Amino acid sequence: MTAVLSTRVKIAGALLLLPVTASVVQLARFQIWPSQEREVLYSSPFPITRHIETPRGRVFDRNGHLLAGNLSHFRVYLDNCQNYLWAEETLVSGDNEEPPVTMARILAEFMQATGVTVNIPGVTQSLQELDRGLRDQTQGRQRLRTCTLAVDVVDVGGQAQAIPLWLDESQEMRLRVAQGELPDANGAYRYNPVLSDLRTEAWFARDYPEGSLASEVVGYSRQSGDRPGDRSENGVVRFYLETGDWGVESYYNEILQGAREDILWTVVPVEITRNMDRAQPPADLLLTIDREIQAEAETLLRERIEASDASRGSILVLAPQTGEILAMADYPPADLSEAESFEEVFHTKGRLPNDPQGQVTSLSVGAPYEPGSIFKVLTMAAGLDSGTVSPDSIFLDDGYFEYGGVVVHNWTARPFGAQDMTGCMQNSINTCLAWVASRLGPELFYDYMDRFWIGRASGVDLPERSGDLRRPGDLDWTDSTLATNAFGQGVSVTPLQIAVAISAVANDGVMMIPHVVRSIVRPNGVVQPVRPVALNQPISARTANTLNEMLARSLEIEQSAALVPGYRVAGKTGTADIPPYVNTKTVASFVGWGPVDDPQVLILIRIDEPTSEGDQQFGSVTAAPLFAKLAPRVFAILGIPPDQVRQQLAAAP
Amino acid sequence: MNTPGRPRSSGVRVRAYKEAPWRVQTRALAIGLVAVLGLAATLSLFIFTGAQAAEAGLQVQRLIGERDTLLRKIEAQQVNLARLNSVSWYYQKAADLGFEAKDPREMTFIQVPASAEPTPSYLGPSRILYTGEGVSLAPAYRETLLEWVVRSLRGGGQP
Repeated sequence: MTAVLSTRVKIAGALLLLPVTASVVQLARFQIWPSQEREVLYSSPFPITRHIETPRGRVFDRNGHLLAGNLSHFRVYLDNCQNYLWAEETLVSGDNEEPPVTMARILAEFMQATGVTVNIPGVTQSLQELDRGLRDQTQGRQRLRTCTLAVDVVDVGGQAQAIPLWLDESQEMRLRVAQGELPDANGAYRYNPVLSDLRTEAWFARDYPEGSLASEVVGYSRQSGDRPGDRSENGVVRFYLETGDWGVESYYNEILQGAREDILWTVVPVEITRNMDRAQPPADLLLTIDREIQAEAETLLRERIEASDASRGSILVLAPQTGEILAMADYPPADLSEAESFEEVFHTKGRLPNDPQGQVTSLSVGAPYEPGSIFKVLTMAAGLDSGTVSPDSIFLDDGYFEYGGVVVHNWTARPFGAQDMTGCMQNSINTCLAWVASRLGPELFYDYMDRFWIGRASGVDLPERSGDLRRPGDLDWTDSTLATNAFGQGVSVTPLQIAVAISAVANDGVMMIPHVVRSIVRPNGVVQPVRPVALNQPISARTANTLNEMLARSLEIEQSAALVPGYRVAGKTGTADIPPYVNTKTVASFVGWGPVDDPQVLILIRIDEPTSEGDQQFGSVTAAPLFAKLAPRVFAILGIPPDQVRQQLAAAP
Repeated sequence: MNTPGRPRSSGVRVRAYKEAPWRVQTRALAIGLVAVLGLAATLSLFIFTGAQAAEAGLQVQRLIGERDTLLRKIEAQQVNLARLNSVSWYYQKAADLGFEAKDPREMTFIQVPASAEPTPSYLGPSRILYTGEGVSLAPAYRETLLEWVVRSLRGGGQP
């Protein structure tokens, strides 16, 4: 009985031990001798370095049309790179055998799948050298596990520099189709095992859907690898900060710049969230620019420049009552989709006789020039406001005026005879304005120029370069400087500076701080509007209104080409020589505003170096007609009816 | 035969026979099996919970990846939409259709009392961060016991 029981117990024990033994064996198989399937897990890199980023803040025009946004492009990595580099060095295919999966074969099939051209020998060699260097550094303990693919490797200053490989969305899609992740056009999945270790990583890239429209205001955001915060990986820039080069992209870079940093990516979601909290999204900008006014200005400017064979030009459209810049057009414009063309464009805009290598991104805020006769508006404003002259004051023009040892002449050889102040402005008589300045005296004249903010930056929210105004006491100031300053010689201003100064005449004597950003949309959705702020009040409202009327009448008496049918406008032409006065080239300009009884728009036009054929070197011939074309378009876009309609609407009950 | 005069010793069990060895073995085996099963159940619980956490983590990573992909697409679509609605496109289209700029004097203006300035139609700000796609597994979910021991001995520890 006992023997029988003992046997049964042994059998039961053995039976019970069997599953336990099987479990242990299975555990051992899993835990000590991993199966081939589990080898796949070994290729999963850990900890993996990934980047987190926010898109750069968007830029819109005043009506919400996108001017700067973000697209995605993709960097390409090859995992298990060391295996393919090893295969490249050691394996050769035999006859009638499938070629081994080498680095060159992967790159060749990658090119075929995506349509991207890669310098296969150059890139392969570069990666081999990197791998060799890593092995030498670590005495063979480490190899290049993940490779960053490049398009080519070039020699820069004796050092090999990789050109980053970026795929656009369609190319990345084609790669995923080739990898069997997405179906092809026929709905079939095609798996190419050679490409299985390729993976992509998405990065944001700035894009400007309107092309060159308002490019000098919007600016450009450049990606490069040589700035603080950038670093390189396998010879390819891995982590860069996108930085604004000019325009609002530069001025508001701090709030537009998205967060971008690398993190160690783990399976624990909590850790990811903690990392992501470090980077706050940027803000969006809503500009004061109206894209339709901007487009009209750019089109008309281009036509005029081409017709007058001029070298460059700009148009500034300003709302004098708020300081909002509605349009700022330059010619030639910078096409934001062609970064390689910038240098030539900036050179065209910046080249001057005394600065042949000059580079200017924006004529309106970065290129001071001698304004010529449009500066007379400020001299006359000072004369009227100080009581030195009145509209009825008479000046007897002999064709010349001597002051401070120099003789001032008019733009025409003939004298204009007796003229009141309106006549002086209408005929743009240099001698008359020199006379007004001489009566003001240096102290009062320059005091008024200070009030008009001449020689000082206007405070616009763009990278700005101010013009110069020499004052008594300066080394190169003489008495004659006062006489020439009176009609805009010997003084330099940017188009924006002179426009803001003259806007006081159109705005009851008050200059507003010019600005291009209307509001800032914070990441939390809060909209911060930019409120209009007065810069200064250089003249009284009475003086402003008087001069406003004088300049409107002068255009009407002259039957100026700047007159706008249906609207009463005021303005002044300008024709300035270009220092150092070595040729006969001029800058033709016109500043005008309207409607005169309620000026809502001020337009300043500057045309550099127009041809002298048909007297086109004069502002009255080149710039004034352009104002007459542009102003009604601006009035129409802004919904400003002609004077008669406006008066009828105002009188209606 | 009874011996009424002798009291029984308290607390001491007296057996009249020796316990059979098979019963001792069976009991030992049962106790051992219960211990093994208990240990296995506990380990299973840990493994099950751990696996669920890992799976959830992977799922979260995948969802983040999907969300980011969608948000990238939205961002790109916004740019593409703006390109299709660019002012140059409108000008070209207007020219193709034979439209010309109207002289303001020929326009009909209507005064609308208390008309508000047009509200910009831009979308709200981007509040979400974008990350790359892909997932990653911690070594704890993919290494063998032997590897874990070796790594621990080398001072690697759990990352």
